[in-house]
Amino acid sequence: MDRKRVPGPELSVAPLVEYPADFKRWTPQDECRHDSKRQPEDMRPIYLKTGLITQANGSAYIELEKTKLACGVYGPRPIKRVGQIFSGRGILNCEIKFASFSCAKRRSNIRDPQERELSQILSQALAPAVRLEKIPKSAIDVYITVLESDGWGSCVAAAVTAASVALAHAGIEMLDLVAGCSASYIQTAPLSISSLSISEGDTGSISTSTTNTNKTITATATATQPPQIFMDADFEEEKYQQGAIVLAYMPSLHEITHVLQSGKAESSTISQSVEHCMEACNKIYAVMHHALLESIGENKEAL
Amino acid sequence: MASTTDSLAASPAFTFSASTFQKLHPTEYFRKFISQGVRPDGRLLDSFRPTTVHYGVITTANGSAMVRIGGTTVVCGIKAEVAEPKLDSPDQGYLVPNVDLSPICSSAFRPGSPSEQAQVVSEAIHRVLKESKVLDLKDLCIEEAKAVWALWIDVVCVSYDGNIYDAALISVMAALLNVRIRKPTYDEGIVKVPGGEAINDENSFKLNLTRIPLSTSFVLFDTDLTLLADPNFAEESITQGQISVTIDEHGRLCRISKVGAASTSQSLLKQCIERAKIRSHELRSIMNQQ
Amino acid sequence: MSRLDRTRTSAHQLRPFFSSQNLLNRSDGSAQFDFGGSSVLCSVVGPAEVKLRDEKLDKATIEVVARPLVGLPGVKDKALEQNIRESLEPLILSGLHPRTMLQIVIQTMKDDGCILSTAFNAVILALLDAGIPLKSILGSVTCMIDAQSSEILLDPTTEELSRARSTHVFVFDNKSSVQSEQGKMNVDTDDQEAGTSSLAAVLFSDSTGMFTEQEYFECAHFCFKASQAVHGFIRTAVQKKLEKEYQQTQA
Repeated sequence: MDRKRVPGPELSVAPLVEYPADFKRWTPQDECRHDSKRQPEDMRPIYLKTGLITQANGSAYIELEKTKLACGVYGPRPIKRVGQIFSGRGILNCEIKFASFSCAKRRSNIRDPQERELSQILSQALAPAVRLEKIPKSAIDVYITVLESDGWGSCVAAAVTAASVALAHAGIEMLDLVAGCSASYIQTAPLSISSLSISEGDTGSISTSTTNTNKTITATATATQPPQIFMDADFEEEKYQQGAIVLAYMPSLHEITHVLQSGKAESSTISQSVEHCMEACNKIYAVMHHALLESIGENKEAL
Repeated sequence: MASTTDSLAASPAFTFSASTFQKLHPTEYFRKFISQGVRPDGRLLDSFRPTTVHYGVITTANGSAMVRIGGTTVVCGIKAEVAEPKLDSPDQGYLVPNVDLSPICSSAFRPGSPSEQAQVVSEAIHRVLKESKVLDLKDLCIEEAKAVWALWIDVVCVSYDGNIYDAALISVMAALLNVRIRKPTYDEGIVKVPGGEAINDENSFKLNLTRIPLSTSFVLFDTDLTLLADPNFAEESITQGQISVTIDEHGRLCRISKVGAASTSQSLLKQCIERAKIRSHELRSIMNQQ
Repeated sequence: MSRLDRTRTSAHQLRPFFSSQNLLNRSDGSAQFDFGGSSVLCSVVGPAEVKLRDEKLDKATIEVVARPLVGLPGVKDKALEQNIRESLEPLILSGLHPRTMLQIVIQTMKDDGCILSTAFNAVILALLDAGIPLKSILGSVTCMIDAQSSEILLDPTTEELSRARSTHVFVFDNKSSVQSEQGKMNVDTDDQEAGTSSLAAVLFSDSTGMFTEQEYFECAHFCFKASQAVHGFIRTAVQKKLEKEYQQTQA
C-alpha cells in the first residue's frame, strides 16, 4: 500500500472485453497494415516540438499518432551526492516513466523493471553522442514521461529521438543528433487453417501461439518465405511479430549508437531491417532539424 | 595609479543588469514591479494566464484532458477498472484522484515517491470530489456488493509553472466530463464489456456529474498582502500565503482555503470570491468551446 | 433545536475544553488539548540542530510531523502538517533562531471530529510551554452546516459530521480579535447593520462541501465568537501554569 497517494481499492482489474462472433481482427495476412493507410516501409507521421516544459533547460514533445511522450532535460548540474568519487566525465542520467493511463492496462505508479530497462537502453543509446568529457563533476538528467504508448519499439525509438532533440535544445554539446527507429519482423505469408483457430480467447496468448505455429510452418511449408519488415509497428502489429529491432543512429556521422534486436530472425532479415531503419532515421533527422530550427526562430522572435 | 582610482570613483558603486538583480534579490526585484501595479511577466495583478483545455487526448484512457495555464501543462487520464466495493458501502464505486509532480516538470521535484506538495494537492482534489459530491458514487455500481467501477484519476504534470491546484482540478473535471465507459454485464463474478465496434451512445455511458467545481487561486505578497491572481512558479516561491476559491457552475462554493501569511481581512476574502466567480465563468466558456 | 450530541443544547455551544501542559519530560515543550471526545497531544523540540539540507540562513526551519490515531500517516496527515506549518510560519519569530530547527510533533489521541482545530490549539499551547517567541497566539474552532436543516453547528462530533453539507475550520489570532473589537466599537456608533458581521481577520480557513458566500461568512462570524472563548482559555491555562511554576520556585 502506497501511503503517499490517495488510497484506492486494493485490487482492481480491467473488465473482460467480449468481442462479437463476427468481429474481424486484423491479421498480418490482411492486404494492408493495421491502420490500413501505411505501406510496410512507412513510418507514422511525426510531430515534434521543443520548449514545452518551461522550467527545464531543454525539452521536446513527440507524437507518432497515438504514441505520445514528453522529454525534459535538466543540467548540466553539479552532482550533489556526498562521497561520490571524482569523475572527469559527466554522467548522463535517463529516467523513463509511463503514465498510469498510458497503456491498455493500467500501470501502477511504482517504478517497474520495464521502466528501469528502458532507462538503461536510453542512456546507452544517447551517451555516445553527448560530449560528457566536457562536463566533469556534473550530471545531465533526462526525464521522459510516456503519456500514451502504441507499440513498444516505437516508444523506445521515439524516446531516443525526443531525448536527443531535448539535449540539443538545452544547448548541450553533442557530436550529432541521435534518431531512433523501430521495425518488426512479421510473417505475412498465408498460414494453415489450424494456426488461425486460436484467434478467440484473450489477447495475451495470441502472440505466443502464433509464433509457435509460425515456427513449425516456416520449418516445413513456407521456409523460403522471409518475414516482412514492418517499420514503426503499433501494438496490434507487434502481437504478431517474430522479432523486432530498435536502432539508434547518428545520421550525419553514419554511426550506430545502439541496436536492440529481439526474437528470431535470419541474419539477412536483420541486416536488411538495419538498412531500412537507417533510411528512416535520415527522414527523422530532417524532422528533428526542422523542430530545432523552429525553436531558434521562436527565440529570435522573442528577442 | 591616480587615474584608476578616478575612474572607479566615477562609475556608480553598484550597477548590474536586471537579470542579476532578479537573481540576487528576487523579492526586492518583484516589489519594484508590484509598486508599479504590474508583474515581471507583464500581467496586471489580477489577470490570469491564457488557459486552454483539450479533451480526449489519450485514447488508452476512458476519459482524458490536457490543460494548459500559461507555462503549466497537466494531463489527466481516467481509467475505469472493476473492484470489489467496501463492506459498509456495497453500492458505491471509487474515485481515486492522484497528482504526480515528477522531476520532468520542474527541477524543484526529486525522483521517487510523491512530494509533500503532490500529496497535498491530491488530498485537496480528493476532498472536493468527495465532500462536495461531484458524482453520485452509486452511479458506479455494477452489481451490488459484488462489483463496482473504480475510477483511477491520474494527473501527470508535464510542465510546472505554478498554480498546480487550479490546473489539476480543471483537468480532472474535464476528464470526468470526457469519460465513456462501455456498458458492463455481470455474470457469476465476471464483468464483461462489449468490444469490437467503436464506442457510441448505445454501448457506453457517460458520467452524470451533479456539479462541476473549478478553482481560482491567489497568492499574498509581502506584509501588505497584495493579492496576485494565478501565480507562476517564481511568484509562488517568494510568497507565503495562498487563497483558493472553488466554485461550481451555479456559483455555489465548494472549497475555500486560506493557508499561510498573516491574518487577512474578510473583505479581502470577499474580493477573492468575487474574482473567482468571474474567473470560473471564463473557465467554463473555455471548457465549452471544445 | 436539538443536537445529535446529547450533552449540548445549543448549536453554538462548544464541547468542554481541557488542556494540560508540560506532559512530556524529554521535549522542550508539550501540551494536550481536548475538545470533548477529541484529543491531540503535541510536543515541541527546539531550537535544535538542523539537517544541512533544510537549513535556512536567516530563520529557523519549522518541521511539523503529524501522526494519526491508528496506522501509519497518509495523505491526510501530510495535508494537516502543511496546513499547520504554513499557518505557524508567520506567527513564530523564527528570525531569532537562524540555522536551527523547530520540530513540532502532533499525535492524535482520541478522534471525535474537529481534529485540525484541536491540533491547532494543542500546538499553540505546546509552543507557549516551550517558550518559543511568538507574534501572537491563535485559537481555532470548527463548524459545519447541517445537510437537512442548513443550521450552523459549532464544534461538531464525528456523528454530526456525517450529516454535514459542508465543514469549515477557522483560525483567528488574538491580534485580529483586538482589531475587530476596535472596529466593532467604531461600527456600533456609526452603522448598526455592519456591526453584526464581525470583521475579524482570518489567519487560516479551510472549508469544503457545498455552501454559499453568505453561509461562509456567517460561519466565520460564529467561529470567531467561539474562538474568543478558546483564546481566553489558553490565556488562563498559561497563567495558571506560570503561577504554579512561580510558587514552586518560591517554595
